[in-house]
Amino acid sequence: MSVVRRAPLLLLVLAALACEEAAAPDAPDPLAVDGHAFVAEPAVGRAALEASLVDPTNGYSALRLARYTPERWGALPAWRPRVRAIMVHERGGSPPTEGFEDWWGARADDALPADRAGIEALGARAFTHFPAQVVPALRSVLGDAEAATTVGLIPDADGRLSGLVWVEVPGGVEPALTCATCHSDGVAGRPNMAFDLGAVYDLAAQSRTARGRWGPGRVDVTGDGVDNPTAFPDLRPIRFQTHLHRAATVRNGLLPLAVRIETLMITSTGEAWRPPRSVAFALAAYLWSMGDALPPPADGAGRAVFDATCARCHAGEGLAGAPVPIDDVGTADAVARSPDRGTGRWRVPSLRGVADRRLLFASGGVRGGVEELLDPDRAAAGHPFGLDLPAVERRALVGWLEGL
Amino acid sequence: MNTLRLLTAGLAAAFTLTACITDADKGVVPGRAPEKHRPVAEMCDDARDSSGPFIDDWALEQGDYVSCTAHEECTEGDNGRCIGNGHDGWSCSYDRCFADDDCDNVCECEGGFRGDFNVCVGGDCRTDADCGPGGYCSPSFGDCGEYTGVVAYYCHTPDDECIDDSDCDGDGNFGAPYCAYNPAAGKWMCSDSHCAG
Repeated sequence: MSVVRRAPLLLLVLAALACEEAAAPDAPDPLAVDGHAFVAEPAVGRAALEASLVDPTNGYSALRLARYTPERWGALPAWRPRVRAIMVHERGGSPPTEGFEDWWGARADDALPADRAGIEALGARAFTHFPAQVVPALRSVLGDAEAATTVGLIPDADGRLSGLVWVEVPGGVEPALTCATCHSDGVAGRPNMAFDLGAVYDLAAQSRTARGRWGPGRVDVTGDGVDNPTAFPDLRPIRFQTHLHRAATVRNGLLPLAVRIETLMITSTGEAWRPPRSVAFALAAYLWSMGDALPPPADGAGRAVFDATCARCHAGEGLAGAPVPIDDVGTADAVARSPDRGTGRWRVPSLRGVADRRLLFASGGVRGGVEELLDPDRAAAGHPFGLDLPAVERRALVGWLEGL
Repeated sequence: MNTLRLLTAGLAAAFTLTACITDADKGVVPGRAPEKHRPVAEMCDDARDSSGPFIDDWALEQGDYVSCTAHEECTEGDNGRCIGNGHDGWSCSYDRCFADDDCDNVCECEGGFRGDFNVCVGGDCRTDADCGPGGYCSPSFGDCGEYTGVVAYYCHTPDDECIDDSDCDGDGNFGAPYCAYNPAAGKWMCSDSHCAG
C-alpha cells in the first residue's frame, strides 16, 4: 500500500492517540477533595455538624453547636505531641524519659496527603499513635505487671501493650489510650473485649465504684450522671451505619464522622487542645476503609431466613437501617434514653462483621454472640426477632450470621 | 536579722505569687492563694464509722452488686468496712494509708470513694513547699469531677486558667463547672466534665 493510500489510516491513528491524551488526567478523588476542604475551611466541618445532628437539644449536640466554632474550639491549639509506645516488657517499670518520637515527620499541622492512600495511611498511623485520651489512672496498673494483665492489657504482635502510649505533656509524661486500645484486639477496628477500663479506674481509686461494674469490653462514655455503659463498638462496619452512636445521635457520613472524631478528642483533653484537622479526617477515612475487609453477605438457606425475619430493619449492602423507636426493640434502654445522646430511637446496627462480636445490644447484655442472641432462653430481654423461629431455621440463620 | 529574713521572704513570696498567677484577663486574680491547698502534710487517723452497712433489700438480689453484707467480712486490709449505696453497690473498703510515706504521693485522709477510708492519691506535690517559693499544692478532681472526688495533688502553674471553682462560671454541661488540673494541658483549667468520653 502506498503512503498516499495509508494516509487516512495514519490520520485515524493519530487522532485516536490525541483523544487518549486529552482524556488522560484523572478526575480528583472525592475523598481527597472533601478532606482538603475539611482541613482548609472550618465552615465545612460546621456545616457537616449542623446537618448531621438528629436532636440538637440533647447534651452531646448542644455542646457541639455551642462550641464547635472558629472562636471557641477552632481557636484551640492543635496538638501534635511526641509519643512512645508502651511495650509489654515495660510493665512494672517507671515512666520513660527518652525514646519519644514525632510520628508526624516533617508534616505541617494541617497538611493532608494528596491522595486516598496517603490519607488512609496517616489515619492508620494515628489510630495506633495519636493519644485519644490521657488517663493518669493507668499508672496504677502500668507499675504492676500482674495488674496490667488482670485488666486486659494484652500484647500485640509487636509487643506493644494494647495500643497504649506515653505522651509528652507540659510538665511531664502521662499514659494515654489510642483508638487501638479499645478498638483493636489484633484486628484494627474490632473491639478489645478483654480490656476493663473500669477496673483500671477502681484500682487507681483503691475503691469499688459504679465504673468497676462496667466489666471487660464496656465503658460509660457520657457524663450524664446516668449509669449507662455500652459495649465497645466494632468500628469496621462504620461506613455501613446509617447513624453514629447507638442512640442514633448523628447522621453518618465521612465528614460527620471526621467532626465526631475531632470533637471527641477535644472533649477528652478537657478542651485544652484540638487534634489537627488532618488527623481527624485521616482517621475518619481510615475507619471508612475498614469495611473493605469484611466478608460480603453470602447466599444460601440462612440468607433466606434472614431476608424473611431480619431484613425489614437490617437491609441493603450494610445490613443496617433507619433508626427505630426504643420501645419497638425493648432492650435495656438507659443508653437510648441518655440525656446526653438520646434521640428516642435506636440505631439499627450494621450486621457486617457481627460474627466477631461477642457482646451484643448497646449495653452488652448478650455476651455469647449471635448464638445467644437467637437463643429463646437467653436472659437478656428485648429484641425478640427470630426467637420464635423453628430450630432448623434458627440454626441456618445463626450459621449464616456467623459467616459475616 | 530574723525580721529582715521574714521581710525578704515575704517580699519574695509576694513577687512570686504575682509572677505565678498571671493574666488577670483570664479572670484569675494575681497573688491570690487557692481556697484549698496543702501547707503541711497530715497524718490520718484510723477512726471509721462502724454503723451499717444498711443494704437495700433489692440490692441483695442483684448478683455481684453486693459483695459483702457485714463489716466483719472485710478482712483483707486495715479497718475494713462494708460500705456502699444504691448507685454503686456495696463492697469492702479499707484504710490504704495513714501517712504520705505509705504512698507514692499523698495519703488523702477519708478520701475514699464515698467513704471515710484513707486512700493514696497521685499528682506532683505533697505540700506547698514542693511547688517552689510562694507556690501552692492543691487537691484536684479527675475527669469525672465530684463523682470520684480528689484524685491527685498538683502544683499551680503560671499558665493556670483558674485557681478555685468560683473562677469557673457559665455553661456547665451536666453539672457545675470546677477548677481542676488538666494532665493533658499541664495546668489548672475549668472543666464541666463529670465523666470523660
